[in-house]
Parts: sequence; C-alpha cells; structure tokens
Amino acid sequence: MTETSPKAYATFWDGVTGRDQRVSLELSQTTLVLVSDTGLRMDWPLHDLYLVDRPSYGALLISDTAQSVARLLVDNPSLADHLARVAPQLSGEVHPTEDTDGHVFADYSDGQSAEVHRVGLELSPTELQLIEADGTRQIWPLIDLRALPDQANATGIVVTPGHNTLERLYIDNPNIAAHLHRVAPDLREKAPITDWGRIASWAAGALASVALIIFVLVPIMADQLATYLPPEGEAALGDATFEQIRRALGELEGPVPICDAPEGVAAMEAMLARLNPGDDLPYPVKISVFDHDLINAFALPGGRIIMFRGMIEEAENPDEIASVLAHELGHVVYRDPTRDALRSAGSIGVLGLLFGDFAGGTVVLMLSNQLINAKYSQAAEARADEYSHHLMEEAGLNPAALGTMFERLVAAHGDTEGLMAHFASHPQSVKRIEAAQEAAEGKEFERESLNAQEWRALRSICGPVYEGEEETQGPRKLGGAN
Amino acid sequence: MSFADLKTDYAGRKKPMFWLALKTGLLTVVTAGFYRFWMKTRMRRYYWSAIRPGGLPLEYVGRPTEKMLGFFTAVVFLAFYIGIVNLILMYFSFSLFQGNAPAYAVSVVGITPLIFFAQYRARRYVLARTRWRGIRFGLEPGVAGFVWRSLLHWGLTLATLGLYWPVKTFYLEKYRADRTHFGTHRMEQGGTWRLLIGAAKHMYIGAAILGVSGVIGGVNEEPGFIVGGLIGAIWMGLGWFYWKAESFKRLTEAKTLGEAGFRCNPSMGSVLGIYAGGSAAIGGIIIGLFIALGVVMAGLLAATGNFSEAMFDEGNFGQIPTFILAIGGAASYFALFIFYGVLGEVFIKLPLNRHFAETTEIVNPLALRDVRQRDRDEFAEAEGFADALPLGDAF
Repeated sequence: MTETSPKAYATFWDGVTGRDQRVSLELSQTTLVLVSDTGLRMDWPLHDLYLVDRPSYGALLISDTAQSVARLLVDNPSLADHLARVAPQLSGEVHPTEDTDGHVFADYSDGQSAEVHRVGLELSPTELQLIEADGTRQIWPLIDLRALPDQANATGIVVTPGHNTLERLYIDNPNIAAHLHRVAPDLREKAPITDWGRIASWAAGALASVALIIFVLVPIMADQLATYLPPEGEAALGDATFEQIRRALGELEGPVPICDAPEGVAAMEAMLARLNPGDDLPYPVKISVFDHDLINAFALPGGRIIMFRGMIEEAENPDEIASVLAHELGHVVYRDPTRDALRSAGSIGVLGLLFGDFAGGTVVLMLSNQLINAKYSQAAEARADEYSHHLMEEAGLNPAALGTMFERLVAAHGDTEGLMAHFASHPQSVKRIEAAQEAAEGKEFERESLNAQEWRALRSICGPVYEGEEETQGPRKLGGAN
Repeated sequence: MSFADLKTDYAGRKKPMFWLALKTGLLTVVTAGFYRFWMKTRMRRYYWSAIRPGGLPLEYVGRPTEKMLGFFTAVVFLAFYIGIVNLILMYFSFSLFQGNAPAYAVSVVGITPLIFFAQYRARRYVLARTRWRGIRFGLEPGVAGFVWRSLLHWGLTLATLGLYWPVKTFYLEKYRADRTHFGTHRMEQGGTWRLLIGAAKHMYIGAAILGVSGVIGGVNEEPGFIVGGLIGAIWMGLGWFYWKAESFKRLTEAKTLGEAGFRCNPSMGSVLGIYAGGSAAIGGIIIGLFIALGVVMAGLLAATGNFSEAMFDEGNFGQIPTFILAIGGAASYFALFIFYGVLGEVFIKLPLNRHFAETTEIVNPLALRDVRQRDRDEFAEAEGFADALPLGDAF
C-alpha cells in the first residue's frame, strides 16, 4: 500500500445522513481507501468506482458502485486525473447507463421524496424489474407501462407503471428505450379522459351565457340605449365611422372624394324636401355622395346618409334614387345604425372570448359578427323598405321604384341565396321586389321626384356625364361603371 | 459545504419542435381554435422535458381537458363583463364625451385587475402541474394581494415614466417566488428593491442620453444632436438585452429553496445573438417562402389562364369564385400566421430557453433530498382566464 504524498483530501457524503465530511484518501493498485478523521476506513475497489458527474473542470464526483448513494467529490485536479487513469471508467461519459458487465441503470423517483434512486433494470418477456441498491426489487408488468408523451429527449424514455401514479423511471439508455417501445404493448396509450360530463355541462353553460348575451341582452340594451343616446353622441359616433369608411374605401391618394357640384347638391335637397320625412326624423339628415363605383347606399348614426356615385349612375330615373333615399331615411328614423354600432361593440368582444387569440382570429371574429348582425339587419331592412314604400306613397311617388332598382341589381349580380345570403345583410332581393310591387298595386302615380333638369344635375353631382353614351348603353353590366 | 452543483442539460432540438409546433398549430386552425388546449399542453410537455437539471427532466402534467373546462368557466364570467360592460361604456362614452376613446380607456382600466388576476391564477396552475424528480411545484393562494400590488407597482411605473420598472419587477417577482413551493420546501426571493436597478443601468444610460440630446437639440435646434439621440436609442436597445440576461441572473441567484440555491450565468451577447440570428433566420425563410410561392402561383396562372378568362366572359364572375377566393385567402392568412409562430418557437423561444437553462445550476442540491411530496392543487378553472383574455403564455 503506497500512500500518496502529500496527503490528499476529498469530500464524502454517506448518502443517508446528508452530512458531508472531509476524508483523506489512500490509493493502492486495486483500491481507493477513504479515511475519516475518526480513523474509520472504507475500501472502494477501483474496478467498481462509478462516475456520477464532472461538476467542474478537473473535478470528479464518484460513488463506490453504480447503485450506491454514497458520493465522493474529488476536487483536486491532479488527484482526479490520477484516479481517472487507474480507473478508466471514470474518464467515460458522465452518467453511464450501462456498466462494463452489461447491467443497465436508470433513475427512479417514488413520487414521495425528491431523492432519486439509481436502480438496476432487468427485463423479462412480461415485466420490468427495478433493483434498488439494497437489493429490493419492484416488478412493473410491461402491460402497465406508459411513456410520457411529447418528451424532448428523443433517445430516452420516461415510463410510469400506469396512469394514476406519481412514480417515474427515467431511462436514458437508448437501447432500452427502443426495446421498451417494442415490448410494452400499451406504452403510448393516453390517459383516459374522465371529465367529459363536466366539460359538456360547462360548455353548454358557456354557450348559453354567450348566446343569452349576444342574442338577448346586448340587442335589448342596444335598442334601449340607442333611443336614449343624445343626438350629439350619435353624431359623434357617425362622424367617427364616416371618416373611417372614407379612408377604407379611398385609394392611395387619400379618402374617397365627396361629390359637391352645387346644382347636384340642390337637386338632392329638392328630392329630400319632396319626400318630406319631416317629423319622423329624430334629427336633421346629412346626405353625402361618394365619388365611388360601388352600387350602394347606407346610413350612419346621427342621421348621415351616404349615396355612392355608382348607385346614381345605375338608376334609370330619379324615383329609383328617391326610393333608395327613403329606405335609408327609414334606417335613420328607426335609429338602426346606432343600434348596430352599440350591438357590435357589445358582441364583438364576447366573440373574441370564444375564439381566443389563435392566429389573430380577427377574420373569424368579423365573419361571425357579420353572421349575427345580418339576422337583425334583415328585420331592420324589411322595416326600412316598408318605410320607403310609405314615404314614397305619401309624397305621391311610385313605391315600386325600389323594386325596379332591385330588379336591375338582380339582373346584374344575381340574387344572394344559400350560404352567401347569411352574410348579406339585405333580405333576398326577389322578396323585396315583390314587396315593392305589392305596395304600388292598384294605384296611380303621376308625379316624379325630380324634373328632367334636376335629374341631370343630380347625375352630374360628381362631374359632367356624357349623356349620349348613358342613354344608348341602357342597363350597365357590373363593373362597367367608369 | 458545497456539494457538486447540478448543471442543467437542455434536450430541446429545433427539428422536433418545428414539427410539433406546426402540427399542433394547423390542428388549432382546422378546429377553429379548440385544439389550442392540446397544443399548449403538448408544447409545454416538450419545453418542460427539455430542461434537465442534474440530467432529470422537468415534467408538465397539465391536461388539455382541464384547460378547456377552465376556459368555459372563464367564458361564463367574462362574457357578461365584456359584453355588457363594453356596451355600457360605449354608450356613456358617446353620450358624455362624444367619442369612443374614453370608452376604450375605461375598458382597459376596467380589465387591468382581471389581467393581473389571470396572471397569478395561471402561474398557480402551471406550477401546480410542474414536477421535477417526481415532486410537485406549487403556488400558494394569494391572488388578491398580487392584484393590488400589481396595480400599485404598475401605477408607480407609469407615473415615473418607467424609471420604477426594476423595482416593480422585483416586488412582483418576490411576491410570487415567496409563495412558490417545491414539494414541502418553500422558495424565498432574497435581495432588496435595489437588486435589479443595476441590471437596468444601460437602459437608464441610454434613456438619459436620448433625453438630454432631445432637450438640447430641441432648444438649440442643432441637428448634430440627432446623432446623440441615435446613440441613446441604440444604447437603450442593447441595454434591454443586458436587462434580460442580468435581471434573470440576479433574481435567480437571490432565490433559495431551503438550503439549496442557484447559480446562473446568462450572457447578454448570447441573448442578443439569439434574437438577431433568430429574426434573420425567420425573415430569410419567410421571404424565401414568398418567392417560392410567387413562382408556383405564376406557373399556375399561366397554366389556367384560359380557364379564368372563360369565367369573365360568361359574366358569372359572381358568388362561387369569390367564396372560394375568400376561403383561400383566409387559409393562406392563417397558414402564414401559424408558420410565423412556429418559426418563432424554433428560432427564438427554444434557443432562449436553452441558453437560460444551460447557464443555470442548482447549488447544494443535496439539501433537496429532504423534500417530500405536496398535495395536488385541484384547480378547476386552470388557466381559463388567462386563456380567454389573450395574455399569451404565462411562462
């Protein structure tokens, strides 16, 4: 026995008490001897020494056997180097999962203590045995083994003896992991879902509360609040939306221009005067014409009505425009735009909850909101149509004009039916045409909403129109507007 | 009495993460968002198991169905709040102030306590479903204290134009860390409110340069101070990376778990490198993808040119093509969005996790041997509120 000189020290843990002590080391050809300061000697055969970790450069953390809980930290680099030369297994990979005799090891945690046990593994055709350092064995039938899913360590495996246990066996040895995948039949079986009943009832509760809010509470409150909103508030809401729409429809040069040829504006005023909605209106209306090809018109909160150039060009006679204007006046009278704005303020946030933030779900949100509001708008549209018929008739104008306007649109676009009809906020045009004709049935109408001169002025509100071309071309094709 | 410290291995790899994120992301879109509970669970399992202190992986045991349940629970409560309260706010905003800005402001203020509530509850859920060495983590109940502290510290942060930020970060982290358990052991956040101020020094310096240049430049109308402003802005930007690494280091090293502690050495350069390299990689891939897509589209158009002309001629360029176009457009929008997210996981989040994991060690881990299991924290609502209010990931 040759003592190393000068004396070398290391730190020892017995693995049981958790206390550390400084020990001096003696090294023979075959054995490492640990001598405590009380003179106690422990022989650690070099052949069995096991590398636990390399905590820092030149230092070794070792144990007497692979299964042992005792630890020795050799922090003297020259001594560590020497040890690694006399016990070559110490210079190998940290944490080997097999020893030289083919024994396989893994880490086992019992789910009760944070202490992890190094256990030996033995595999039979039907079971996996875990052998603790003291020789006690646990038997895990292969059929019970489950692997944790979606683990990052692709070559290892973490297995449990069934789903309802806290026990874990961490196997880093790739061969054993692959082998278990072959022999354990239900390794990939997922934990059964036991709470479908609760999920279903909460899902129903969530749906019911969302439905209640979107389809009942929000509309009722929106209807109520819309009538109480002071006119200045509505006007502010309308102005904000007005500018947003102008920008949205605008080209690169800026917002959509507003047509304001003085004669045209005067003609529009004359048409409004002839329709004479008067006392029905909660506040005066402001009519604007957008220099844009869209064949459309709509109302905004606060009495703003927007008519598109495309619509005026599409009309064959002034009554058709008057009927559309009367329809939009109907919306103003019933405060539909305000109601809509308040309603979507309430419902869009709730829908945002349902669909979450996946992929910036804005598109889904807007579609669903459209779907919900379209239903309400259909009733509102029908009511506005009725108002239009009524107002036209009162003014001595033919209410069927609304129908002929739609007829032309249907000829150009086709009707919206099926799935798309849900997304269109106007009731199917055929129905509306029929309604307009019914309103006009058996009555004579002599007046026209505008005389020829005024009509020409209105048509030129966005600039001069080449009359000849207009006359010969007749009903235009969609997209044919300049 | 230092025992060998436990280093942390990181087992996460880009390729498996890419496929996992892509697969679960696509499934989420296809199911109108409902797969997201599974997506979150699976991604977390991967991320958690990649972190291996002492060679043993963390385990995430949260279940998708409990997240779904929690989400429904939160919807029942939040639907009312968001629907009705928003509507009323909108009404008052327009009737009293003639504009919608006050409504949004009030709405945000109204939802802020809910956000802090959701943050704490989500942290509690996630910790309760995290294990290491088979032992559960946990966070004590205490959401009310967290909400008012958050309101106070965030308020002070706003009032001081951000100067208070490191102090706020420290106090809010301390509140949560001091209530965090590993099994039977309680964690403790050491240090004082001054702990993180040094970590923010470069942001302060940058802001000071920027501010001084702005003031002097504004008074003298001297264009040379633009250079000063630029230097200040860049200094501040780089200072953020320093903050990211240094605040993590300081907070972590001041934490103790009984006798065990942490050593942590993340580097600002690595964090900066990960963000810069990751962004470059993502940008490159997206641009490359667009070019490839453009080539394919051009080829397709050339091949089907006659077909689409025929459609225009017949004059029924109407509902069906627009419908298909809309669906195609939405699909590619989502696909791009998902793909972008996937690349973010692969090139930013995973490397960042790796860096912070690999530079963190547990000091005196032997002390953890006394740790025993704690009871399961049944948590019906899971992270439902955090999920319903789009807060992003709690961790």
